[in-house]
Amino acid sequence: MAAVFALLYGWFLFTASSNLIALPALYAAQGYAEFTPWVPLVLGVVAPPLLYAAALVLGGRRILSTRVLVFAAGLAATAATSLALYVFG
Amino acid sequence: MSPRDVDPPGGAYVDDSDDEALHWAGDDARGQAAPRLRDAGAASESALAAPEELPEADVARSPAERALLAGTVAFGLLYLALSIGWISSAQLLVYPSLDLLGEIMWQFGEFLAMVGPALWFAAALTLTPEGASRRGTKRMLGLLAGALVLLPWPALLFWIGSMQ
Repeated sequence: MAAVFALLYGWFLFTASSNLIALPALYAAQGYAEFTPWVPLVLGVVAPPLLYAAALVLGGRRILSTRVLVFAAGLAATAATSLALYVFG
Repeated sequence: MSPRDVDPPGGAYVDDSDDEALHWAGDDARGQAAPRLRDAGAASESALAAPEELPEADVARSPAERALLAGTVAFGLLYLALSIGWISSAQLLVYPSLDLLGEIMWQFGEFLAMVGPALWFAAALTLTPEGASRRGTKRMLGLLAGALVLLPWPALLFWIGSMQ
């Protein structure tokens, strides 16, 4: 269960990491290096593992349904964060 | 004047000919001789008698519990607004690329964002059950953190922009 959710959280980490690697180069190539949105880019990479770890700790030794609910809430927050950061980026 | 107009007050009069209609085949074999609707009436009366104790439980609620309930309801309304904000955000956002997997995950992400407030609210309530230590503080902090994380920025920015 934790592994399945790790994959889903991992997708958001993967896309955020891709953006962090590719976007600054793209901005630089266009001559807008000073406008690179570093804060949303870095937050996008930090948020998924942070929320996953929080869900792992809070779910802890609780029953399965509670752990699934906590992981799902964290995943939803990860998705919402990535969409929010997209409009800032 | 028909016979029913002279029924004694209180509805005690029951036409015996109804009994036949209220019987099911096999009732006698199972020892259930009385008409079913009369039994059902008695059962619902006893069921109605039990909830009368609930108002007493409300009276016994401490001020802290009432504050927690009020806070939870207030956050519930806020989370409903957040959910509406994300539904609106999903209408505004368009996937910026062309790959299929990316688009599927983007739409999955939009769906997650829409149900996110409900999930976070349910998780916060589940993690702070009755009897948990510092239950109220933990729940309020959890709900406050969720409200900040789940702010529907795409819709908020759009609304702010359209007001200017």
